[in-house]
Amino acid sequence: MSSLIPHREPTREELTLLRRSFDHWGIFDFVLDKEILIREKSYNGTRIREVYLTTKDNSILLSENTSLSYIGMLIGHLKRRSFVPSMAGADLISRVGVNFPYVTVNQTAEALVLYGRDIMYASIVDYRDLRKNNTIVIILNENRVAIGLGITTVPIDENSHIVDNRIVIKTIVDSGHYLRNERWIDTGMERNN
Amino acid sequence: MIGRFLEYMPDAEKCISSMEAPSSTYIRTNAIKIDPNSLLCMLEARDIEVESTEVPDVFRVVRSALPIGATPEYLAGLYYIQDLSSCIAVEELGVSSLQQNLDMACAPGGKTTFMAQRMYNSGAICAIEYNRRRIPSVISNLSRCGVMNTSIYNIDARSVSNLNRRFDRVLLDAPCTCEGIISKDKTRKISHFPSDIEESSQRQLEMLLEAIRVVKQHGLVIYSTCSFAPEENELVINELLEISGNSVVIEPVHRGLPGLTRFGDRRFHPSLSRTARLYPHLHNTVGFFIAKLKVR
Repeated sequence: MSSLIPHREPTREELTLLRRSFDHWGIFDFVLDKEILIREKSYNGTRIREVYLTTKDNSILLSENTSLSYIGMLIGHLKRRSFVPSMAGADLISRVGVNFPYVTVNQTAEALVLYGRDIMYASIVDYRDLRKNNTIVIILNENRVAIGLGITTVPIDENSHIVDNRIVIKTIVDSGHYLRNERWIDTGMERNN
Repeated sequence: MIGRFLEYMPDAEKCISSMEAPSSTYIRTNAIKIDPNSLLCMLEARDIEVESTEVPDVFRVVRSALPIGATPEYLAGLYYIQDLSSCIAVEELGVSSLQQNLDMACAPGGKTTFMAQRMYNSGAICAIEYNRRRIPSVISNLSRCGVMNTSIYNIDARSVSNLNRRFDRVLLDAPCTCEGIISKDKTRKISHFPSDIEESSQRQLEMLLEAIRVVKQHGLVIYSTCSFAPEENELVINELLEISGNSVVIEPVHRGLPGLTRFGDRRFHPSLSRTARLYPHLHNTVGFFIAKLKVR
């Protein structure tokens, strides 16, 4: 890939980390015939590595031109030794992923999440794999459409004794951003610094 | 400028009065993410009523209890709000999977996302936008709609051959005076002058010539505008035909009314009747022009 383009191929270490993450999110097979690209940026003084996914054909078609603004889909970013999906990445996982951690919320909570609000225990109608604290989780509505990405504040399982109005998932990013700020660029980092 | 409509528009007075009324709203199912039937069920549950149109996946909004651009389904990119005329332009382009295609003026990304949808998110789209400030809206829409086969370049479409690439299909929805969208933007009635049409026409011809340069042999170019002005439509195509000789032919667009073959004292090439004009009062769309050009 041309050095004129700000995107690069992942290093061996990054690729290992990404493959492990893609396996966690159930998109390992989906990504196999796609091209993964990395773009390094500084965000509020922190170095971040954005992860892009595109078709092989699109990466081949890329021109050695400095005017390139964007490639494929920004599916998330690498922060230290973890991959955090962006909103577009969360949506992709919800459509093609298998066995990923999710929480389904009721219609009342759906409206609140779309304004960036956190999720109370009483709003949850279904979930998967939230037994640990600080688990990053896809937030779905009752039609199983991704509306956001959150992080658990307490472990949740069938033995949990949690009061209904306790915040159990902090919303990291939500699809309401597309409406609130058209100029918003999806980094998936809104509240995760 | 509206006074000129009487020269070439059928039932011009009806057209003008129809542009004073609110225009129809259309939504396009984003088949990258959902099938139309599933979307219709979700919309029905939100008390949104739609009806089919001549373009598959595209619906006219009949009634909506919610702002159609603020539903969770919209935010999730399950549909895109897009006029039927724009959808027809992309349909006529005949894109398919694994092609390498070009969108020469992509902001805010509606037609680009539809192209990606018709390509099953495969192959590649090169999307050009000259105005840097409009690129975030393109990125936002591509992200929302789950498009991953597109690259965006911030360059002047008239220099796209500098990318050293050739394309199977080229969409040139050319920047224009936007006379056809008066129903959506009333300021268009008084914000443009005849001199703007002349300037716009020259730029459009330059962009179209560049489109012809970068399309592959036997490839297709769709040239469209949301203007009624013959100088931005038939005249541009006519000049292209004069410059390119037999290397470019007009393919028929089987929608709307035929394009003009004369305007004032000017006579255009007879094949201009294969282009299409869409009018608000006749086709329930914004005013639109579409020419389908094949490069031999």
